Amino acid sequence: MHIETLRFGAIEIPEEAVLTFPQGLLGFAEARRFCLLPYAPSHVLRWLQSVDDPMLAFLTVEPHQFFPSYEIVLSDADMRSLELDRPEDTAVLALLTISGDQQAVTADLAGPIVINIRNRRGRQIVVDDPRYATKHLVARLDEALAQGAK
Amino acid sequence: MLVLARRAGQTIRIGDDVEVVVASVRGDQVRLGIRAPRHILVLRGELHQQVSDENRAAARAALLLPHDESSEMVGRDSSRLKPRLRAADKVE
Repeated sequence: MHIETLRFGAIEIPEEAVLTFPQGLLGFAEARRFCLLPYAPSHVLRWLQSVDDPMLAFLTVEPHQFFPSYEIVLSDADMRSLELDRPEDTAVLALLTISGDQQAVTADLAGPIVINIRNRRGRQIVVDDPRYATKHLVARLDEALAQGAK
Repeated sequence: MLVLARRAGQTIRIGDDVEVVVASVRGDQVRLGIRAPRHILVLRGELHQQVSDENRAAARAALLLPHDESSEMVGRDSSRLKPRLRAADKVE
């Protein structure tokens, strides 16, 4: 399928690469379809790119890359929304933000994206855990980009 | 919006399944107990707002990152997702 992106221009992605978020993301309720594109070949950072809005993309990383002990508990509501039978059929992503003059990259560990890899349904969950906030320092931007290139 | 006056120990029922109990009132702080079925998600409102705000910040930050259209990309990257939810073990 043909999609338009700010970052990569017009690209082709296979239909099966489309991830569906029935509830959208928080604050982006209308953004229901995304795909994942690597920041660079084999890079651990990936774009969660809207299939429908070229301008909407989030830089993401699997949290364990930077936070090995990160763990979340899925509620029944999450399991139901994802149509998830087996918790091991999930992938988890954290959204990254770059802020300030220091170009600090932070990960939102309070609002991870959980994807059912069997049916490609996704959901942003809100984690009510005092250990996790919306901004956890990952690295300076240049360091994060360099570290991620494997 | 419905506004109800309640005292400590009094309750509010929402639908058939949800009960809110005013556990205590001290100064400007109210402690609430909530009884609800497991499929009902109960969250402090500001937590929801923080994640929503962070999403907006992340989308803005992404727009400001330099981009290189020549960078090679792979559309089927989604297929490389690996199961990695350790915490999932806790889910019954």
